[in-house]
Amino acid sequence: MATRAVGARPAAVVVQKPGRPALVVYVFGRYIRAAHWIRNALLIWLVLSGTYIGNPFLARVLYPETAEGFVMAQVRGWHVAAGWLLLAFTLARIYQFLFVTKDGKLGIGAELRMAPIMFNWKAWRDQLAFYLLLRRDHPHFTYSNYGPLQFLTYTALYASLLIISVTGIILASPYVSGGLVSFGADLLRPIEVWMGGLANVRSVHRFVMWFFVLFTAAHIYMAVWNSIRTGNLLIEGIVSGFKADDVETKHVTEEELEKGKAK
Amino acid sequence: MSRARTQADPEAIDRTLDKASIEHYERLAAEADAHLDELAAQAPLKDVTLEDQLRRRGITRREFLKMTAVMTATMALPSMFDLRVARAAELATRLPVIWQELQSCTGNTMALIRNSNPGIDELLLDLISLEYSEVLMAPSGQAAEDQLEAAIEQYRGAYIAVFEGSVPMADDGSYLTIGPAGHTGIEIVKHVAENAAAVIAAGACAAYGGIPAARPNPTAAVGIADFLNTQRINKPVVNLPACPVSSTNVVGTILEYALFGRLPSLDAFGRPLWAYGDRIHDKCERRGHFDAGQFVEGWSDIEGLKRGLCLFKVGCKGPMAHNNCGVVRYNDGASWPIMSGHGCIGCSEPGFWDTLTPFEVPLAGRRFPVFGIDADADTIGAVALGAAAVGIAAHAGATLVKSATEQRAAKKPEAKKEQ
Repeated sequence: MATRAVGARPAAVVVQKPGRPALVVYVFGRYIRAAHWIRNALLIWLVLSGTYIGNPFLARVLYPETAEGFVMAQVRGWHVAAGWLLLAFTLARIYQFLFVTKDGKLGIGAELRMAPIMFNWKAWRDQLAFYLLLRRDHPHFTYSNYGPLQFLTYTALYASLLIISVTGIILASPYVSGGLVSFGADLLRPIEVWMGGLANVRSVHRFVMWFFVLFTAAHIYMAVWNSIRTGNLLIEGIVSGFKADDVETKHVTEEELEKGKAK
Repeated sequence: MSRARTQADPEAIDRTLDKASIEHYERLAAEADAHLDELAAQAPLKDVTLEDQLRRRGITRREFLKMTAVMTATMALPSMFDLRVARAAELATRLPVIWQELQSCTGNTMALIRNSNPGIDELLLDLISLEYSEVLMAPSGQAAEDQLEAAIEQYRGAYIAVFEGSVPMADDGSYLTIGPAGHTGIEIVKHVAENAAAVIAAGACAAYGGIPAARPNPTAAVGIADFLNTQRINKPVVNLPACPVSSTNVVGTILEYALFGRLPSLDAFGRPLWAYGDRIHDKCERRGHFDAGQFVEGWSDIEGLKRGLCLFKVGCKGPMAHNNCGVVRYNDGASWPIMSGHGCIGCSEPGFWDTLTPFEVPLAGRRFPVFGIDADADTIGAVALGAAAVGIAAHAGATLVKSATEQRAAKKPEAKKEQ
């Protein structure tokens, strides 16, 4: 594949291959891509370890003597550690969403300014029509990187990340004395009381986990589907950072390729 | 016991305590001495004395002091309080208590009086001036009613009201009526609590509603604290949940009131921190097996049961429950549920009857009513995931058909041209 970088930083690249988009743009920076996959790995570990903590499925034959190993304590410890890391990523992302402007400065976040898309009925109609196969081309939203469905889903996702972190801190606090967990749990005590005790907190923690599992299934399918249906290189994008230009997803024809080579 | 013997003795202070702690406890000790002197100045309400009681029961002074030392440790006080607690026990005769039954099974009173050996718990129950108790007193009917009224009148604003059982609120409280006049629970609690100095809710029902409040809660039962909130009656309430509440925790709370003249520090759910500050899980003798991942796999896992492994997988709710059962135990410290091989059911937690059931599976197996079916969180999640998979498959299939149609439509004009 012959590619040509535009400028020092590859903001956009012209692809010269039949059937591929004519212009790809750099949409996912290094941090975004790294964070995406790290969070993915964290979530997989958290779901698996959380399932073990809720209902320990490993056979006890692993450790015949109590003193030989502390599998539950280990799993629980690394579950909490991964939880803190996930919360750190979540807070960084929420900060970016709320306060980082288009040119990377502090202010009202660029993405926050896209929120009106959720209340744009035409946008809803266009996007749902696209997913329900009632229109061929992906609707283009001039002021938003996200469609209304995406915006709503991601907002719910981050709200859920906060809920699972809050419930997680409350659940972890009885196992440690002092430290950040205890400090957080003391602050969150009114929430624990409002929820009616640890049992309800734990149930909410588990239900939100299932929301993540469902989200992941839908997210993977829709990203793959979108990528194939529109040829916008969405799946490649979260690895390479480059995605087809949303404005004019034009596919390179044989003729254009010939011309390009002649130049 | 002379005043001099309970003076703060610096030599007696635990040497492991740091300076700040010593100062803290010395302040507490001074507070206790002041209150005990105040109590001692009052006239005794009964002509029973501690000495009589001890002699009648054949308890030596040494044995009695051992009991109060255990009690002191249970209340999380250092040894310099040993003699002060003993003095508080002696002066508890000056503390009028009204014990009011409500919608309950009387199990908490039973747990208190059914000790096989006369421990400090029962001793104290005899010592305190129990002015009214339906289970223990001789009068019945109108005579009992008169006794209650007389006690309220005599000790207005000074007595401790202990409630056992929940208050049914439905149909103007008509699910619970007591006495010849048919007073409802609502009327009784209002009347007794309004004139009390402090309120103790003994047992899970009085604290949080208990079994009568289990879904769908036909009598609209509520705990005492919630009830007083709805009636805007502002009294200090201490919750002593558990089913039944351990007698040590009732006696400890009364002793603490005698000692300091106030109720103990409470946690977020109104429970004394000295008794309910830690979870069952934190003081559990099987905790090592939990951390090591060694569980009794089911009730037929004889090997695991014999080895005394962790009961988490057969439903122990110790990690959710706050109480000191593992330390004080039941029936004169003979045993407690986890020691006898059954998991904790979390009976000291608010809403345990709904939130910690079913009792013999881990909390992950808690059932939620969804579309008229009771299912646990994982089943609900798995079914939702399955539904999502079906939806994805349907959408993918529809997309395949649609794109095939589109491609055919795109080719057709070309085919026509060729012809």
